[in-house]
Amino acid sequence: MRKGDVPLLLDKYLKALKEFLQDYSSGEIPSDVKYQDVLISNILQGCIKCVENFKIRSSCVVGPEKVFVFLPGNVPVVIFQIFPILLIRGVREVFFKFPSRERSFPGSFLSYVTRNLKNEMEVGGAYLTHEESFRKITGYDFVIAFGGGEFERALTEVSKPYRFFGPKFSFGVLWNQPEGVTLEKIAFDVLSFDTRGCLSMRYLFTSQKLDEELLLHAFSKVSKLLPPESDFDIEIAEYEVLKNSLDAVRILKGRDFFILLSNRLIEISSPRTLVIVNIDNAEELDSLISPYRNNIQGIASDGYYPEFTSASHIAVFGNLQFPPCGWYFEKGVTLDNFLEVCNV
Amino acid sequence: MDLHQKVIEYIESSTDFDEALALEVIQFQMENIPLYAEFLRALGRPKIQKIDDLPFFPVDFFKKYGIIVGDSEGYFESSGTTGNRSRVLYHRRSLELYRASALRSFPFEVKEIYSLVPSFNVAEHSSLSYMLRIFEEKCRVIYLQESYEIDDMKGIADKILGVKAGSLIFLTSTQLLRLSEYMAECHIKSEERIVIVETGGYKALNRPYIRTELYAAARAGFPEAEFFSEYGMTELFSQFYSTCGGLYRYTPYSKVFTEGEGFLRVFDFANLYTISGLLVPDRIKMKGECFDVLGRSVDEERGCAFTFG
Repeated sequence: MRKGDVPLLLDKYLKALKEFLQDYSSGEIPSDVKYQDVLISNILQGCIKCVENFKIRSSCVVGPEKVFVFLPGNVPVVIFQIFPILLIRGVREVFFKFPSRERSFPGSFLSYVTRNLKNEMEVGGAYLTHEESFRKITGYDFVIAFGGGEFERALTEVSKPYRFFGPKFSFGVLWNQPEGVTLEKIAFDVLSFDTRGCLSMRYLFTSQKLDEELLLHAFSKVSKLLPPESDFDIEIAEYEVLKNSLDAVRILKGRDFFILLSNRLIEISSPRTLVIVNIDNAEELDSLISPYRNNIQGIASDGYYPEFTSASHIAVFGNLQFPPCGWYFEKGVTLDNFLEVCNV
Repeated sequence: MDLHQKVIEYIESSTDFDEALALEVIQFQMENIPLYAEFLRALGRPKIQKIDDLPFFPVDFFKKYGIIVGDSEGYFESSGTTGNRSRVLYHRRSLELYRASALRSFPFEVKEIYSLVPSFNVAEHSSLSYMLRIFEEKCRVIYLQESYEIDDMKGIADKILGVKAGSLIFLTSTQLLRLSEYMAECHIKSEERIVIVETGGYKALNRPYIRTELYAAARAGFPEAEFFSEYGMTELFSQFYSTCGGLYRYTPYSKVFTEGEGFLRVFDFANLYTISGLLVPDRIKMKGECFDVLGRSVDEERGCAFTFG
């Protein structure tokens, strides 16, 4: 691929992305899950800006020709973040394995891409079983995957170079007494993707005593902007919360969210749930987070935060879902090395 | 009259849910089980003044904690993998409540029960086996084998074919399916008018089984039998039977509080010495005083989100 080809490809991709956003905003994109429209639209707009940015600084390091991508089921936006990397790196053929939870949304997006890039790249995607996927991988040069530990173990047994993004979570650190607007930004970080995204805030560490009424008010307000995704099951979430209730000092329950106040880090994974951990100082924070240092995706903070973690995105409150252009999921991953990990 | 006696009499004769007595039971449990008081406090309900305010206690806690008022003298254990089993402690007085509830809940008038569930002498931590021991007071209980697995299918089928009209066969849903498959393969059937009670719980069948589907398969081997299901669990000292046109009927002493469709919320007076207001992650659907069990709900791990625990 010649260097001059890249801006042209990105232009075509940008057109696809804009058309998709326009139709998404008009409610014309089919999906199996009803997502949080405001969030998806904002992320798409961010992706559009980043493609413009790619056009300015793109190099033409050639990578593998055929790439297989396992899309994660918790967030539907990864496909938008991956695609420009593939274009810039000269990938000629890509196949996206859709998650079982969502088979329509990525398929719709690929139809926009195919329409605009039909002569430049062979694009495919479908839901496949685990066995079908691993059979299909053999025909590709490189694998990109998101998932848990067991999945990575299965991937190591396939003789293909791959880039694997393991399980992560995000947290916030609040040192100053917050105003209502800050609490709303925190609620935005928490309720985004029903707290299931790697960049969704699961814990808030704070030295402040927070006003419970203000907290509930902020979360109730933001939950209207970010309503539960259509497959959110409040009974399952509540059961998980109640199972952990003996570790909490207090549990606040909203219409479709939960807040646990605690003096320690409660290990809980339920959706639309924030654990607020009371801390006295930075040393205490460091020691609480240290066991999870390699599982941190993002940190939102209004002051000190531990730098020894795997966090690849440090944000102000309300911005966890919007990493800057040039963010490639994990610390140390760049456009140049994204497709060059050779764990064969 | 002390609370124990009041609850026993209530289980034996109640016709309506007694909210005042329920609140007395909750108070008793809060005072005697610190963990329960802590649970209610965390949920901002340190005192319960009406039953509608009661947060129901997740049964999963029985996997982690030994919960009982007083000193335990033994325990029942649920099935499941090691580390994932509930252990429910009991003593003489709590078993008196179990007995009262089991006897009142059992809706069948039969002279003999043929059980494929092993006896309590063999399965000493099985609450199901304990329940059958209680039924020995009422009728003759014949244990056909000493384990839950059917090792000698032919032998069992022969014994089943000898069961006469007016008797009851008690077995797990898995046993019923295996037995029915065997009888179909061998082209044998029982023409007797018997009652068959299976204990629900379709986990062991390796796929979701609809009760009607199971009964349809079983009916080929037992064309004249009446089929019922018993829904119970180690953590609950009362049981429910599907005597409501195929749905489970609840009782005043083990009342279901779920509204519409949702997780099972039950208040079981027979649980006086553990926790009465329990939340079970089985999704049910209410129809008047009856309910259907739709299945167990679990959250699934998704994508790249870190899963704790």
